[in-house]
Amino acid sequence: MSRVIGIDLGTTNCCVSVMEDGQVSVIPNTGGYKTTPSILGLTEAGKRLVGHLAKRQAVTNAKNTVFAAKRLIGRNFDSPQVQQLRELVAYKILEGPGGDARVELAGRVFTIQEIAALLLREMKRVAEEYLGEPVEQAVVTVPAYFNDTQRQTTRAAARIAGLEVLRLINEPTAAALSYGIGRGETEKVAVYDMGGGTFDITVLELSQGLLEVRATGGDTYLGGEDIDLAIVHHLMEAFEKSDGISLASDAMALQRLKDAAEKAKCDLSQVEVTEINLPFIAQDEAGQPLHLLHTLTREQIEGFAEELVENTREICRSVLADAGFEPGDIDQVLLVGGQTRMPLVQEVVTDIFGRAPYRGVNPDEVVAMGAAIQGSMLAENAEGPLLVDVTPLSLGIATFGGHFTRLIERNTTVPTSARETFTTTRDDQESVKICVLQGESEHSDDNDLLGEFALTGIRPGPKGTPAIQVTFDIDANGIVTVSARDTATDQAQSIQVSARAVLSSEEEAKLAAEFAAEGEVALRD
Amino acid sequence: MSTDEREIQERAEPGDERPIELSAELQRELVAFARTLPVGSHYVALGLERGAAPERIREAFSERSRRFHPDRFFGRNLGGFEPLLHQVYKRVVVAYEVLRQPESRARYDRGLDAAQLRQVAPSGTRPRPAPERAGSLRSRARRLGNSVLSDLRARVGRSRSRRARAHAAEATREDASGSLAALIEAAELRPDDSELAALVAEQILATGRQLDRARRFAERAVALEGNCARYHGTVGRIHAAAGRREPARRALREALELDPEDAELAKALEKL
Repeated sequence: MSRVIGIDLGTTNCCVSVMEDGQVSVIPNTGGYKTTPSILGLTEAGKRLVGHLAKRQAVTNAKNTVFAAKRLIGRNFDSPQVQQLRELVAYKILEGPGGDARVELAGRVFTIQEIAALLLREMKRVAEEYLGEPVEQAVVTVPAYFNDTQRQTTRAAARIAGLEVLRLINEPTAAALSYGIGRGETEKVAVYDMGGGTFDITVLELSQGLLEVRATGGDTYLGGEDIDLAIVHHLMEAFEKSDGISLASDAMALQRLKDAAEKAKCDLSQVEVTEINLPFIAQDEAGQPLHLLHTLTREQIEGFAEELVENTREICRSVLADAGFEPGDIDQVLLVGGQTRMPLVQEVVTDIFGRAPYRGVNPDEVVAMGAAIQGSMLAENAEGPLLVDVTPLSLGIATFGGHFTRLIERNTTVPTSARETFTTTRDDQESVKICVLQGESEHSDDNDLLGEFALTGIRPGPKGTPAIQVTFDIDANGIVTVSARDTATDQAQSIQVSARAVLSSEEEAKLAAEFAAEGEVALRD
Repeated sequence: MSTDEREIQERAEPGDERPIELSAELQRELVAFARTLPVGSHYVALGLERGAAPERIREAFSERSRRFHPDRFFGRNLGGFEPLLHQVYKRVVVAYEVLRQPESRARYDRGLDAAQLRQVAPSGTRPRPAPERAGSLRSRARRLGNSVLSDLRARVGRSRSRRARAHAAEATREDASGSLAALIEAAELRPDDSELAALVAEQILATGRQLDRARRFAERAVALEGNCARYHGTVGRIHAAAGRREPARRALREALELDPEDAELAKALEKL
């Protein structure tokens, strides 16, 4: 049987890991790096580049280079998040036939599934080269706060990449698993995860046999990339002031600014002052080259990051409350995600929990390591801590007047089920539509629609008299099933909630075959 | 052959070529455990005593998880045991959710107490378990099959006087969220228990709200046990309360046929 790999599909970087002889190791790519940039580029000649190769050509080919695609996963083109990103990136984001966001590169339109699939396939390839054998199964991680659509989209991407997903696990849960393996005592652990594009905070209780998530919360649209973009914005303004030229419409300049911003931000975690030097960034009216030279201090970028980091305090407080803990109950705080290297973030975390965070884990690698551990435990039925996770967002149905009626509250331990009885709103109503929603808003429209179905053949009667029993069920794999039954006639209908099909299973299979064939060519090269 | 053995055989029936990858011991344990769940309280689901110390709750959940967490059997062919495993583990998780938090555990305990003692509650006071009584009830419940609810059933069976039910109704109004919810939960856990269904129906009727819900429980009682005058009478009184005179008359007539002596039924019918 082939080995199961663990993949952390991050907004900015991906990481892959595997268990070997009871030890978990992070697999370096061909360049020797343990993480691979989540970047895909398409050259004019139509050649696809992934990872470091894509990053290297991003400056000269900014329009055809996608980064941070994870921020688009499972989102509608209309959503504010997509619209916000559209203004900040050089590549073109457009609307797919189903209202989903898609990306156009060198004249070809890609679904987000395909982009994610190409990244996952690259990680599969990295692992295969290292192990010298084919890999078919993986545990893939997602932000704890991802909704069902985003999770299903990630699963679809893995299928296209030729990977069977044994389980999707939450990133902080994976981090805690990697930390907790082999530790004996019972501990209460908080995982503060701030990556490139998402923030979540998860509170767990772990002991030798059990890793139990007590509560989780976060913001899928808050992360380090926002700080990078704030720096880019600042540099552009400064340049316009000094040289009178706007760089906003120059894709190549923007890409150079973005790279420089990210690097300056990382440097400023170590030093207090850094210099940004971008020669030949533009030309003046006379055709003379202009250079950007700018000094940035840690204090300045902390100013950009402050609001964002402060926002995490309230989320932490509410998650602790959901778990029924006080900050002082937490025995250990783990930091996950590259953005937690920022001294300001560490200060705020120390302040929230009243203790300094644990320094023993690598925030870039710990998630993939946890995924590999879980993969090997599942595949071998090995002894080890069993994961007991929660559902991050409330589930329910739309009811009369545009209200959202919750059946399963957020942070309920899964597997679980819930049942409630509903009725009709018109006399002799023969059918009802059940809209399955996920989210925290009281208004049904503001929540995510996971699926809908109709229950027909209701026994005619005055409004309010039929009893329609709606049952929600979440199994151990996180799959949601919803059923409705008219108790008078026993008519019943149910659906298993799956992603609104952006790609049909035939399209998926076709892409999978196409990608697999390319993979073989690459191996022969 | 015992019921458990028969069930094990059915679930192990080879649907495909692959053999069942679950030890005979676990098969037995799973079926035996599953059998206790529909009747048992959350404490039964975790294998705990009513008064278990808070720190024991997580230990018990951890033990149950090691035994029945579906991940322990990932990728194995469990045949007919697979749905059973999922069902059992879900029940364990739900029990843990309720019992691990002091507030929800206290609420649940109050519900169990109220359900037990409602029948003998003195007029005008909330049912409150006297320590002694609760103790003797617990030991009897254990004898009756590890279930507090089976004790409840025994009590209900013994004391059917209207007076007691009236007190129970009063208690229900006072503590509608706690005890009635627990009683409804008990009835959902024991769908075959006509007496419990009738009791729930009467309690809901006493609150004067959710009459449809009351009617469903009453009808369940009638469906399970068609020869009990009281059940038909309850259906009739619910219909009457909801203003449905014709169905009310029908049900009350049926009740009187079964028990012509009952003056209250006759009076209710006359009113209509």
